Amino acid sequence: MEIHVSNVGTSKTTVLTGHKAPILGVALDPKDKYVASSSCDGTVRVWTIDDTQTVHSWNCVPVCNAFLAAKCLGRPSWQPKTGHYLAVPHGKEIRIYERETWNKVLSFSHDQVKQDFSISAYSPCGNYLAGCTSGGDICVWNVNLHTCVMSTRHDRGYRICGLAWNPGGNGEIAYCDVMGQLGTIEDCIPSASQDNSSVTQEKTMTVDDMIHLNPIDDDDDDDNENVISLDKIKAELSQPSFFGDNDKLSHAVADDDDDVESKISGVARIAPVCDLQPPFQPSSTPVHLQHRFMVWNSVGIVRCYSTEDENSVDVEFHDTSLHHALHINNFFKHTMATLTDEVLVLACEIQDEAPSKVVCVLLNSWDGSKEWSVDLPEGEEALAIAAGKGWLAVATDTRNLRLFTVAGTQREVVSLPGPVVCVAGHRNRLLTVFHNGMGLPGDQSLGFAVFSLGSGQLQVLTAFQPLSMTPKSTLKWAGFSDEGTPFTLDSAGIIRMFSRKSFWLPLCDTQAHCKGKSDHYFVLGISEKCQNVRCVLCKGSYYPPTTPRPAVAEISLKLPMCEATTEKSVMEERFWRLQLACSTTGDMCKMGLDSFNDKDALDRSIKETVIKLFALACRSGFEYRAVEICDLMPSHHVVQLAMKYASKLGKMNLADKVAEVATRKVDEREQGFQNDQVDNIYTLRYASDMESRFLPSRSMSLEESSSTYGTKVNHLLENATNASTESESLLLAATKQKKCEAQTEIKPLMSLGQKRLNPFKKSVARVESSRGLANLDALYAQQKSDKNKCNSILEQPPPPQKTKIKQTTLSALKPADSPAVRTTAKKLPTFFEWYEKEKDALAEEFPDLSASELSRQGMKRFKGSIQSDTQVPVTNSSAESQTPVPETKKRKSEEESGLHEENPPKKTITSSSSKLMAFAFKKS
Amino acid sequence: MDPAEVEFLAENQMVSIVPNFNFERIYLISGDIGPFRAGLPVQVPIWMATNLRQRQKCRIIAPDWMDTERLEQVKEEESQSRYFTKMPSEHYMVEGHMLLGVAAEDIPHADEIRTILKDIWDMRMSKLRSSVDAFIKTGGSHAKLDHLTAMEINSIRPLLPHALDELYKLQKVVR
Repeated sequence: MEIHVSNVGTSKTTVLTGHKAPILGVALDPKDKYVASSSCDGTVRVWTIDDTQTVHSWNCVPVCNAFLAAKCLGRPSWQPKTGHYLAVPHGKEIRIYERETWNKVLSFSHDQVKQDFSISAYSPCGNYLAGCTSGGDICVWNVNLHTCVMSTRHDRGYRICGLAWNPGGNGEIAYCDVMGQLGTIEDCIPSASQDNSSVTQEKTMTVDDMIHLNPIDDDDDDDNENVISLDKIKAELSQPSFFGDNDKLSHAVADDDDDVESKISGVARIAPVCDLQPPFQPSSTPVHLQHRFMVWNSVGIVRCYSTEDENSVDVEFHDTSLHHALHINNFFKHTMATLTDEVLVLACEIQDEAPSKVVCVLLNSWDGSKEWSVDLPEGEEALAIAAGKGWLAVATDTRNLRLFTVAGTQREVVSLPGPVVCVAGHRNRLLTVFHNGMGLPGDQSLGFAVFSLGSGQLQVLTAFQPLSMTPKSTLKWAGFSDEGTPFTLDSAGIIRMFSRKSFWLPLCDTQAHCKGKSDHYFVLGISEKCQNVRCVLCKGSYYPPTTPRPAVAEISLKLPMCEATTEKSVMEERFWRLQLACSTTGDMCKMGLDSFNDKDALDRSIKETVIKLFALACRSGFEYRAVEICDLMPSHHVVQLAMKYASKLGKMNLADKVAEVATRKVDEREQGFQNDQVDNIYTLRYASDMESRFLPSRSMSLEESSSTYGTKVNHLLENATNASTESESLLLAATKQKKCEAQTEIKPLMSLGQKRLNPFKKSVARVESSRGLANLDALYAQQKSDKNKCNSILEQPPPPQKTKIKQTTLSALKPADSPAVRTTAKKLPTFFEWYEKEKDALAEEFPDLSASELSRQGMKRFKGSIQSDTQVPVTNSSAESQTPVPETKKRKSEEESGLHEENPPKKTITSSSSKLMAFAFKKS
Repeated sequence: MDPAEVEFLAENQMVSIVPNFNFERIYLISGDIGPFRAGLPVQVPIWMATNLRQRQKCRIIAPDWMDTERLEQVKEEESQSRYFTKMPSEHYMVEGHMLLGVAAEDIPHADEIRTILKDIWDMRMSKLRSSVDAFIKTGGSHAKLDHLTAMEINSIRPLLPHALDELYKLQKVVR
């Protein structure tokens, strides 16, 4: 480890050898006699250049093995011009040593500095000393007055690796941090400027003399304390009460100190301006790049090439069956893009006189016009764009959020509470993130809101709330998962999810997946179903290059549990993550976007995990914990399983306790799934919204949409209230439906079916009206997946296949009056039971009749026998209509009875009442 | 086995592709493949990858080892060692040939990779030949060679046992 000292004039080089580890810093004596150096071996040495010997050495640098590993550089600094003193960082202080004797004369420290000082630097005038620490603090002292003139902290707290004064002597300090950023601090010297400097100049002597005179300072070790006490005395002197003191020196000092302090406070009052992060498009790379991704999402990739001779936009679709690739000349110099399966939206900023412009390319228009564009009002500039199903949104610098339909009709204009950071869209949801005022020091304060844009109505799903972020981080990505849950990624690499219960939770630490510290993941999308994040690993950067084409990686979501590697934590993590996934999938199922198989699979794995957790707790002897885990179990079946397990292990006491839990679970279940009420705020909020929305929407002419509203209200009321009040909700629904009917007399068949809350019918409505689907999925309607499984069965539409079969046969039978037929079909078993019994007797009675006539005869008998029943007329008419095909009827009745068995008894009651209701309505 | 058979076996190796279509999981006797999600990588056998690539239905992602740096390193090792070194893939030659043949534009530095692969192949074949030569000359009764790939074994197999047979016959006659 050598230090080379070259004479610039003679180009003669002297080599200083002796350090046993890499050199961290050198300082050349202004008189060219000495060199001071610090090294990883823990020493700061002073060398003579002439005989290349170490004159003095201090052990004051933390020992380490490489330059890269050195936290504290221990970089010394000579007093300029005279070289009379040498400043050396030493732990939490900077010590001043006298030339030749190398005795410590002074030391500087700062109360708020917690880390070791790393670099010292004398100002060009020699009156000030700057020091910085490994924690990013920068302090400036007045050497003569021993006062701290200024102290600041790097706003990110990064380690500072270089510090230099402006040679012009204007009190400016430049520094650079380990992240490669260069910064300057102005006015480090309290503009004690001209008038003061003369005083300082004068006093240089006196203070120096004083130091020399002070015998204590010549001691080596224990002077640290003394210095502090000296400072204390000075501080005391500086108090106003001492102003009357006649001591000239102290008065001067006090006066000066006071002056300095007031200036410091003046500086401090200028609050640290935290730099607000500029707006960005999620999943895009920075605008200044020549080749950049404008967006890369689950639909495709939009690349922008903006070299001097070419400016174009390339669109590539992942699924080529969606649309062929596009190549667009970028005349308007678009900088923002967003892509959905319907549209490509491009937007440009204001460019010399030309207004900011939004261009929308329609991917599947059928009228020949492939694109439309709109100019924003003069002076208004697009900052962020997003698109979803049937809409697009442009956030502007006037804090407006302008909405358009995909075909170019203008919609609502929303005022955002702050400057936009980014917007993201998914189906009918819109996520906006904006600056929400000043954050805590170093932090940004971001807010967000989720809008729903269903069916021509814009409304906020979550109020404007602050966004959760890692301290001192910026937002790097925001968007929706494939399932429509808002997610964010911040610069610390944490992916957060906005859960269905309206709170943010960290779901993945992407940085933990990176090998290198400077590697980052560029997020493209998140799938809750697969429990992973689609992203691109960028080695040494935040953004991927366009060529070579980066490979997509999938990293799994993982809750940041404590002691993440233990078996217990692994299972706990899995349990809670699956719970989240399950609630999402449950919602998806309700919207008809996901299959129940997935949900069942999730349910199963939740049960599996919770049983494993239970077993683990049992095995480790935590019985109290085991019983607690039983409370988490989704159903009493699992608890019973746990009970069996416990008794098999011979833990009878535990088994008893578990049995208690099991009985409680059963009770709870029977008490009517009260957990519905503590359901998330979405449902209730939304339910009320829907109700209020429902009435004005009567004027809408689309009978489809109004009828789906009816369904929705039904559905919501069902969720919001619970099973016991179901009949009420049905009534409500029925009346509402009537209103719809009054408006639109089309398709009575469908609305009839809905009013009766026939699960089959409901699913038909979904299938038939895609518009209704879009509405429905706005519902954050949700239930806890556990416990009320039975309830969910009630509400779940049965598998569509089955329904279809039934529908077709029914309509084939009697398309005009299908509800009535259905009613009969349900009642038929009674007749059939009767008919089966009486068949032989009838055959004997009328031996000459054919089978159909026989059955007709039987029907007459049957009618007579159940005269008292109110349902008779219906049974009669439809039964007659069905007699020609008794085979089908029979099969169907079997099916029906099978279905009845599946349903819990409560359902039968409600369904029969609804049937009655339907009938009553039909009559009216 | 002739080269075609070796190639057939090699075609069962898995490779990552990025499909440009969506398709359900497919259930094959050798195992399930998919689901195919447009734009997201999926592991498929080479035979399927080449087929899809020829129909412009996917983009092939080069295997980890199909990278100039990595292969240069392998080549360096191979040239340094007296023995055969372990190859990054059991069917490196066939895989390289097939993937580079069908999707040269998907794989960065395809030409360089081809050259390096050929170099490695030549080096190993010459090693094999010289060791066979040495084996026969010393008249040894058995020899052990590690890390030979299927293709290499089958390049020498038609000749060597036959030649040894002949030698044996001749020796018997001499005695």
